[in-house]
Amino acid sequence: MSTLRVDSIQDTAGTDNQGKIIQVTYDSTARPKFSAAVSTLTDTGFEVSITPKFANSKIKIDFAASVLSSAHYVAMDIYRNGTTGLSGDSANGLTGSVAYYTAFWQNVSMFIIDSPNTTSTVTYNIFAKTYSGTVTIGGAGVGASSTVYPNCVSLSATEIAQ
Amino acid sequence: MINLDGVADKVDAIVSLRPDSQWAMRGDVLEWLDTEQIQPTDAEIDAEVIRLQAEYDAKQYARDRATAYPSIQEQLDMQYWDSVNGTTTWKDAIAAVKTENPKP
Repeated sequence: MSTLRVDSIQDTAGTDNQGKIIQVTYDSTARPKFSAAVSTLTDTGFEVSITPKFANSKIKIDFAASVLSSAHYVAMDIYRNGTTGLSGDSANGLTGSVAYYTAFWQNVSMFIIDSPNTTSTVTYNIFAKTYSGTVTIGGAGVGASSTVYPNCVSLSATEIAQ
Repeated sequence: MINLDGVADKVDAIVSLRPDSQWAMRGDVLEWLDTEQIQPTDAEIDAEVIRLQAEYDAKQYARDRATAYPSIQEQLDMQYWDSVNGTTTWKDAIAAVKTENPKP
């Protein structure tokens, strides 16, 4: 018995891998619940890392969480390596109106396609801000616990070949 | 003011102690971001949590009364018939709710 291993199998045009999922990473860490009253996008501590196999791959980042706003709008964004907001909108981020004068947990989800152009490990961070009042991310259903488990906040990164 | 679940927490306490301040908290770790207001101490926060909870609990009777009162429509109907018949149905109904849920 023999094993044949290759990096990829391509057709003559070299596009066979296009659109195929190379890998998926999922943040399964129990992280601290995030609460804030902050008017600039701030790191929530929720993050997921991926090491792209190919430099030209696209990375799709998916985020979903229970979010509570005490008074007004909440904006959220996905940052690359803690420095680059992927929405390009530092004021409003990817999501604008999460909650408006309500005080109920809402399920918030967002995703974005990134082109990190590297084969080094990339970390994607969730940033959030409020316009007034407070925001809490994660924690619905876990009572007074300050730890958020992955069933309250889900965050994954998917490498898609080009 | 306590959010949602009726249990005072550090978020409630910080908002109460330093309204409109800028801060972020990951788990129990507070990062103070405000440049105008000073960060409350842990002792101040803990004391405020206790005070807020006591304040909330002390008003439980009012929340219980609010749900126990007859609807406005029912009360108006009681008052109409009281005025027609010279009875005290409405006053008795309200008094009964207050008696069953006394103010501490």
